[in-house]
Amino acid sequence: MKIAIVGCAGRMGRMLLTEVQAVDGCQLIGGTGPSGAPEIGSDIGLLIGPTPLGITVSDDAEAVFAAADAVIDFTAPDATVVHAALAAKHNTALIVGTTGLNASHQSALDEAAKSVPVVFAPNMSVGVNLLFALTQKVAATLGIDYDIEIVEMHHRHKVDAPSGTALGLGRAAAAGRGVALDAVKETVRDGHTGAREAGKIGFATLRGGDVVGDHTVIFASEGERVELTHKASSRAIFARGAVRAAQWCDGRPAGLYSMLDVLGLA
Amino acid sequence: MSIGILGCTGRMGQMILTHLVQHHRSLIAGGSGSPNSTLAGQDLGRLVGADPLGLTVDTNPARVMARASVVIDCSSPAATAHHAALAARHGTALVVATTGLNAQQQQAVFDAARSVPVIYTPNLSPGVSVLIALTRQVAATLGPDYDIEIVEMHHRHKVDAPSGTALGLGEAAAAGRGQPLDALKETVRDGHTGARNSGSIGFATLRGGDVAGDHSVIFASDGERLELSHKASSRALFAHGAIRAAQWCSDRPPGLYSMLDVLGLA
Repeated sequence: MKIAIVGCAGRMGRMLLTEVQAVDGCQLIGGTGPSGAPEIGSDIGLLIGPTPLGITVSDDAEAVFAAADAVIDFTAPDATVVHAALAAKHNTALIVGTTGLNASHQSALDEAAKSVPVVFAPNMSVGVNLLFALTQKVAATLGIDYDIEIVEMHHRHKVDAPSGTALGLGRAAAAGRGVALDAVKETVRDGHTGAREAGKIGFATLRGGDVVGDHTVIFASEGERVELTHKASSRAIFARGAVRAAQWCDGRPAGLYSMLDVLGLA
Repeated sequence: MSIGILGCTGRMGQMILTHLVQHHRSLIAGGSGSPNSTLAGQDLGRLVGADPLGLTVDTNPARVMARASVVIDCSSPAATAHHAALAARHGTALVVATTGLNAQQQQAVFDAARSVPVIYTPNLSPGVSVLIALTRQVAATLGPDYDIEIVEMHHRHKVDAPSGTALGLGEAAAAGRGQPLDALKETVRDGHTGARNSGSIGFATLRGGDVAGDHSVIFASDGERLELSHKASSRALFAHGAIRAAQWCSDRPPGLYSMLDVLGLA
């Protein structure tokens, strides 16, 4: 499968180049960057190691979409809108990991999905997506006599709490229970709290060191608890999920898909 | 629906009876115990330190079955084989909470399932059943680049290793990979082991204190790991599971079922 990476010199872009090279059945055929960027004209191989590949970084996204079976896009919302139109025009599958899309950016993806397979996922780690699906299923199975608590830890630089992934896990748990997360969320416990209210979903946030990301969903009842945990040790897992999504698009009909579709968990 | 307990004077039987007396008094059809027991004829409510129920420990299980739509059997392997035949004759649903049945005794249980609904499962705790189902699904989804390790801890008196539940989890993982556990199992790591054999399923066993039972299934890859865990804090949870199973199978068609069926995870 011929794969190209747009925004290939960015932090995720470089990881994606490395990952495509490493996977059997995938051939890296091109990469792009913004016009005027320093990496334009450089050999792609030299972005990730000492060995040139004989492919240069281009600012001509159109040519790259024309040549590729699938393009992976972890760029920025406005660029992603342009890429979506190119994907539809050239019948190229598109894998989008760009975050921060608003409704209008999103509708550009919906439009492209009428012509080509588009996989859109803010978190492409296989493990985290599996955890979303497992959490929803367990929340639906175990019932209200199990208290749900979500604990997460990230490195010292992270500024938002709880993490987006923790909130995603909370939404999955709430969906399993058939309620909205906002109605049951508890993110602060400080001082005399009174006993725990049944049906709430509690969150606990830890910050320190260089932890890439640890998340645990606890289901605690009289006599037992079930704990589902994900621990990331490297951001390469997002690249791995993206390449898996690209391969999954081979022969796939047009449509908008999530990582749960790619993983067979939807 | 009415529930009878066979072997109600033993530890498991009393635990189940206690839960029923506290939460579902009106559902109790009766309880049986060994004719040799000093508790024969004792009031069932008084037996577990509650108000009298007006029903006593019966030495004849057939009488209990005649009054109950479902019985929970926590007697002994030999008695269970006899109870299975009785249940089939009386058209009473049967939840087998007895463990350690030999092949012949198991066959008696399977035979009864031709006439009545029978729940037969190695661990009645809802949490462990959920973990077994999740383990199988995750092992099938994640592929061999995820190393599977199963860690368990139990109290200082436990004599067998790994625990039956840990082996059950290993079976589920191996089934997810489409292979028999014996081909993949690794239970000893001592001295210079060489690098890990890809595809193997490793077991680690810890013993100490009064731990009721902790189990973790770890799926570890480059960059991330997923850990599915269960921690028992009291054996009362088996009682919850048995009662839930009884309520589920009371009006089911004849057949052999497990906790996975009860929980909708099969």
